[in-house]
Amino acid sequence: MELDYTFMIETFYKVWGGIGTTLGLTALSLIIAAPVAFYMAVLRIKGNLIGSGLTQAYISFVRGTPIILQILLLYSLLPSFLNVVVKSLGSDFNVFDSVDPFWYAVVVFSLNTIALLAEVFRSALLSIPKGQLEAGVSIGLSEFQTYCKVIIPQAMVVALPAVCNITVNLIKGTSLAFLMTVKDVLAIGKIAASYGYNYIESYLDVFIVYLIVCTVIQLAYKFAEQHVGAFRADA
Amino acid sequence: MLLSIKHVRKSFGNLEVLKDVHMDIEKGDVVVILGPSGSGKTTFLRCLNFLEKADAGEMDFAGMHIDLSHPSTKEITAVRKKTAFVFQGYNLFANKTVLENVTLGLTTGRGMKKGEAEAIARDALQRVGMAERMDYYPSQLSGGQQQRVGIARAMAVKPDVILFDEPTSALDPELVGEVLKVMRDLAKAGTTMIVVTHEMKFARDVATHVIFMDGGVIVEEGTSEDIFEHPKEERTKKFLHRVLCHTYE
Repeated sequence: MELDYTFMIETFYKVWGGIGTTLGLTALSLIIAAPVAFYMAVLRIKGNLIGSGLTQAYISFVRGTPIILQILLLYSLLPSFLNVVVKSLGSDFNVFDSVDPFWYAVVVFSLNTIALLAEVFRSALLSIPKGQLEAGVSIGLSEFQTYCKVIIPQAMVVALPAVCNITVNLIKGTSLAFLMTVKDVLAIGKIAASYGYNYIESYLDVFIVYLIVCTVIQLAYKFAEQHVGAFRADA
Repeated sequence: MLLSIKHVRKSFGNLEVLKDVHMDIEKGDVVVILGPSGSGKTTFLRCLNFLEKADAGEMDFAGMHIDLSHPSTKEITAVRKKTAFVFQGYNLFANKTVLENVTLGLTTGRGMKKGEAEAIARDALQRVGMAERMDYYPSQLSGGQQQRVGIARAMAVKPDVILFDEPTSALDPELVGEVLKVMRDLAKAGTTMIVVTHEMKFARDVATHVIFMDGGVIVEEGTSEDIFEHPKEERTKKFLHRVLCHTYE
């Protein structure tokens, strides 16, 4: 078996160009999901039966179905739904031609990440001993102040390794966005390969790109954990 | 009267842990509450600053008359700002340095400027002998050191009364002394304290008033001489005999 190295190097740069889409999708999903997930976590811990129940139902719904199905379903559903909304507002904006599928992907991955992060935040918040909350209110802080200054900062450190996991999985998971014709790293590699049937070279490129990106991300999280977790004895 | 509390009742499920408990405290009093474990001492203390909500009871404190079964948020906050609590398990803020642990109640809790709060905190840490460890995190301290910081944190907010919930019970025996010394100094300086403890020598030497509780009621109370030298109730005598002459048979 002979590999076409020239093609491989050329394609590597092309594939590398898809990093923006992959990381953009990942970052946007995380940024959108984090505050919602945090609110859900609080609802599950302190909320009433309805809030907590709805949250739990949502989480089971997301976790209980394959992400590929969620993608296919929402990619069929969202544009038509959006079209109805736009039409009912009397606009002649063409949803099907004008909305970049990237944004549908952002919606799908955000909805998915919300459920995962909510559980991580919930367990992280619960892992901080309740005594510190009591100590906070005993010296005249409000419960809210104690959460902001004491509980949440510690919970976020606890959550970091799991959030790193979610991030890396999300980076890899966004490759499924090619189902929605989003041109991310994998999609670019696949398209480049199909012209001359150089699949092996192209996929190896994609392989290397994901490996580099995920390694850098993991190192970054590790560094962050050491930095913000300095107060812990084992850090 | 600094603080008066009466008719306190509290149940956990079917278990009635406090049955009509009362207490009156004057400024400068050191009240020690003794009693076997499960007698309701800690629950009583926690009801005083609403870490536990009593089922019934009244409190007169700082010009307020509070129904303990229905305290308003305003009343809870007011009481907590005028009291402080020292926990059995220290409960220091793990993500804050020693200095920050002490200043947080002043800055965030009371809106004091950082510089002013730090001056007060330094002074409090000096008094508990922890001034050299100001920049350490709680995880880098021994239990005794953590508890001394816990006491400094309570002192710093200048409360009318400090509540101590078995402050030495979680400590290694050789570390108990350093914490008790700090508490003796506080008592000597005229701090009003309510102390739940098993340290009999401390109770005997320092208490201005001793309460013996058992089964959710106050069995006997009086000066430390009354309780330790001339206990009247059979239950008190038995308890004291058990803890003072305990032989490991």
